[in-house]
Amino acid sequence: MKILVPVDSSAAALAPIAYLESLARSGIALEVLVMNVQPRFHRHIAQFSSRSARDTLRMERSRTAMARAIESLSMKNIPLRAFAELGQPAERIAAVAEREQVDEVMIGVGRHPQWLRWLNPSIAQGVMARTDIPVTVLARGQIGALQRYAVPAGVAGLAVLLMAGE
Amino acid sequence: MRILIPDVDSVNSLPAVRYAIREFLNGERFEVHLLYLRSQAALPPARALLERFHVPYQVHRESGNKVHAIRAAARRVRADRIVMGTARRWSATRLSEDAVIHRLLNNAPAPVTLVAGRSVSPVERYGVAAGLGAALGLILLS
Repeated sequence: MKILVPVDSSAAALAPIAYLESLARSGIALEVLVMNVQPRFHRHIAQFSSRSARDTLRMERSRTAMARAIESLSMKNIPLRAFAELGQPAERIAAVAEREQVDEVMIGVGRHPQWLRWLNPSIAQGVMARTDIPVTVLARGQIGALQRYAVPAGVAGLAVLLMAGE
Repeated sequence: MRILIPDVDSVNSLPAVRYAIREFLNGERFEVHLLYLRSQAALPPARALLERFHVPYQVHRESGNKVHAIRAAARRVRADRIVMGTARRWSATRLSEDAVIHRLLNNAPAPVTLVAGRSVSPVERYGVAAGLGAALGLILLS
């Protein structure tokens, strides 16, 4: 079974690793493709740096992001390959999944309130919108009270203050 | 290991069952829990498929809010994974399913696997968008 696991530097992104280890323990033959996508720098930033410096920085970040996943899988003797990609994360993940003809994409995500999802759509949903390959989403963590109530209440309060001031 | 397969709509629940069977044939061992959120109309094809490949399964029925029902069932059967069939992207069915999927992804007590279902006809792919655009145009004109 060929599985693509996109990771970033968050702890939630490592959720599929424990799940894959349990699959491997139950005797399922796995081939894991670990990947990290680094965004392009904005052109106003890129103009002040050389291409090689940007590539080195991206490579360093990708290596750091994938290190824990690679280490865990290696310790369990699960065959793996690692990729570093450049571009828009959801688009690159879907493209690599199609190119490598994986059986499944497994993504670990953090739990976030609905309003934050509107502002910052999840990468998992972006991948699902771009490919018909099965996508497994493993949600980790809890939505904090600050995120859930305080921020929307603060924004609403600010809006009321602004309206009252006019 | 227990896999929960919610039957949200008639056409797209079968891909989830087929996916489970494929995994079973690949050597994964689990028990399937079919969760019916609608009438019994779709029961026979899914059950027939599971029986044909000797995949052990149980049937459950729930009604009411789909997301709550799926979450409750997943907790009750202690599902290790929820497998949902969905319509393919850019389809009208997928648009209606997305709300359920998004809410479930954020709150599910187990990993959620989404399996794309039947292919989308050109009418569904372009007709819906064209229809919505035309309706919006009419509203703006009036």
